Amino acid sequence: MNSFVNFDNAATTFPKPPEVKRAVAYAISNYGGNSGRGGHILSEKTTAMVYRTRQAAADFFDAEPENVVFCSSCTHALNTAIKGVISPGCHVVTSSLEHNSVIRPLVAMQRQGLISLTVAEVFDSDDKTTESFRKSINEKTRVVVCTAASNVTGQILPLGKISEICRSKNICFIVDAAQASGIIPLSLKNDGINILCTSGHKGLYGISGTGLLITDGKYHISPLMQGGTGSGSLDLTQPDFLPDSLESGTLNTAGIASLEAGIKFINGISLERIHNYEEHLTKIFISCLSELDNVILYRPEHVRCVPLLSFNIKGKNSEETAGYLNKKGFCLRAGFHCSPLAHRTLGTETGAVRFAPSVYNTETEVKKLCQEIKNSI
Amino acid sequence: MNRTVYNFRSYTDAMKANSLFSRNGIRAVYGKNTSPKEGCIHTLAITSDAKETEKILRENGIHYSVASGGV
Repeated sequence: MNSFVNFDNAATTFPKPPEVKRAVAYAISNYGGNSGRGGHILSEKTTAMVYRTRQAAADFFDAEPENVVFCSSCTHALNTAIKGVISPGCHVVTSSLEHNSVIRPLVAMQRQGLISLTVAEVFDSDDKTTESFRKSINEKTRVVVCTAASNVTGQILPLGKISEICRSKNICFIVDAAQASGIIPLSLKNDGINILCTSGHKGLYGISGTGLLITDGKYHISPLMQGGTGSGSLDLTQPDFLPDSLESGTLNTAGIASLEAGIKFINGISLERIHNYEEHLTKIFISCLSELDNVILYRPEHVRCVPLLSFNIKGKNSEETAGYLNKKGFCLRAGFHCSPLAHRTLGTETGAVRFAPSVYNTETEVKKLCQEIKNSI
Repeated sequence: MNRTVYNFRSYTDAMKANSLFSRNGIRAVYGKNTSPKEGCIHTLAITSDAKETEKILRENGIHYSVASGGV
């Protein structure tokens, strides 16, 4: 039994469901072939599992299986999407809540003189945020890339409204769904997303080293790297069809097996129940902390949020707060959460402490955490 | 019954085809082959009516070629 409680599930979910642990153990012992490479039984078994997972991910996000690309992380997926779609000279719009996995590749391309970039401000109002995106887009805009939900405040962006603007202007809409996958329903078709990138190891309950890039196939994505794909092997050039064009090298077999189990786990409970439960825990936390004068909560009040938020104790460095809670057996992440723009907007000088529950946290744990926060003041 | 072998450019295409065949009650056996022209290819062998299987492949936009048998 653990002597600590994880409230840093926005970084990676822990613990993992028993079925995910079993899937990984099974994979290591049984999926001994390289998917799509050999013609022997070991390879065939692995190939079948990889396809089942591709189909499961496709069904989960409303896409075709061949448009599901396995990546090593959401960062890998975002770099593949951003660098694969953007062409020199184009204008790109992103939001003021972005994680470094979005903003760093964009700033790198901007500094290389490849793109011009506008950061659309996000407000505590979907209408104002949508208008901010609308005003940021110009005739040269070719790509809009933004997060589905902030990893600092939990704010869900108005993806439907932003995608409508993109669709009307033939702009590719790329979404960083790292904090939203497995929490809120996301559909490429219904939400008008052209390319969705997500982690496998957060809300999808897979293990680290997994990520997904899922496309509707409308926009060509040039490969980030070339290599062996188990197809067209006499051709010295990279295949030009999905998913092979974007999947060079050996796949993370155990990771993919964990994704299959993770998606099954979520489907077995339902997204709605998971979201409602985690939101219930978050509301208890907010309610506890709202009673304290010395606590600042960072969560918008007038827009939808995923179940996570950040906070600070006035006069204390965020690491100091998190360090104290760590000694009491509660794991929360302090600092800037790799999201400098979000923290700049919030005005947090020493970052903040993030509360991010999972299905495995309990009401009792949340209340005990709250008590420790009160004790630390 | 005639045996038809289809070649697919990727294992994903072969697996998708296999999945669609299975949904339509068609049994297929996956295999891997090589050709001097295409390199590594992924195959599905069926003993069902090739007209039906090729209709399924075409309707679902799956690239394939017929290695042997076929319509």
